[in-house]
Amino acid sequence: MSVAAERPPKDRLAPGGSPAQAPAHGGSVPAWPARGAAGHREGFTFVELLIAAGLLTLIIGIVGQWFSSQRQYQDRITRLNDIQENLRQATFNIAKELKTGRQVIWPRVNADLSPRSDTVLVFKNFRGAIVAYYHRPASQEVRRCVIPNGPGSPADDATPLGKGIASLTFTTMGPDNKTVSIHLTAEGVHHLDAVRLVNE
Amino acid sequence: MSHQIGRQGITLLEIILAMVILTIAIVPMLDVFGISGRTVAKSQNLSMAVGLAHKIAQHLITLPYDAIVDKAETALADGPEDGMFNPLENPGTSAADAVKITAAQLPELHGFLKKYHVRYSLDVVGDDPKDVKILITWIEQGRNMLYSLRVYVSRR
Repeated sequence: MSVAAERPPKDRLAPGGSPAQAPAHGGSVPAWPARGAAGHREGFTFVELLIAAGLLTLIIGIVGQWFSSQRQYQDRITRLNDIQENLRQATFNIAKELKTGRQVIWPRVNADLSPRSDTVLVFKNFRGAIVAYYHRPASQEVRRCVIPNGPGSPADDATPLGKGIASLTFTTMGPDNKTVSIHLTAEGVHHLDAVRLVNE
Repeated sequence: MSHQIGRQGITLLEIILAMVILTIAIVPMLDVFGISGRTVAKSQNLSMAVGLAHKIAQHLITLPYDAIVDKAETALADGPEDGMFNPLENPGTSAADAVKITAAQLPELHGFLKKYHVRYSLDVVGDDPKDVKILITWIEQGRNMLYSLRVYVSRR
């Protein structure tokens, strides 16, 4: 079946619109060319269109699948990047105040001078205020609160120190209890750091 | 390409050739996403190395001055008791409760450090102050990677 060449070309039509007459010598030039005759055929055959459509579907399927998998991969990479950023930000915020602190109140090294860990860190900052950093597992946040040195309730900061943190461990070590090791995790990514309190 | 007089359009051979050329063009593009993935993994390792070096630097201040000496490459996973990384934590009240970076006690962290073969070493020069070069090394896709942090420690 041919999509084109169903009708004779215009030049084979008489001025009145009727097919040209056969030559007077009785030759055999057809008034209506045979379907699919060489030299007059144009366009695609149905089989060619089918093959093209099939190939196009195949290519679109493969490319689509590839793009889909790459999109998922890209999402994972972006997520991993965000996790790293969260870990770095939380560590930076903790270290910023802690390194100028005066004294760690909790946790304290054990009697045998072995390190001691907890998810809460209480220390006296450089202004003498008692500050606590703690991990809130439900919201995966690291929070800071100031504990009043007298009557009153601890006051939480409005914004967390870190978000998207799955676990946080503070470990105090050293004979003077002034080195705090920090271990944060988020979705399988770990971050280790330490802070040494410099003030007396 | 036209084999018959007056025939126009694309042959199957031409389509196949176009597909082959397209495939050849696409293959290098596939690696673009892989490169970005590797870059993120690289930054993760580097971020870890920066934290580790900083942790060592903070520990150096607590060490007795004469104890700050050269240290050969030491693995963090299954490493010896060095007071810096082993033990890493201790939720209990005595040394017996201490948690080390082993497959049994901290499997996830141990797996990561083991996978990249993360090690640290110290290179100490001078006497007072001591010029301490902290080297964190790891293996990433068969390549040796290194992060170096230099600190000066003076006698207290």
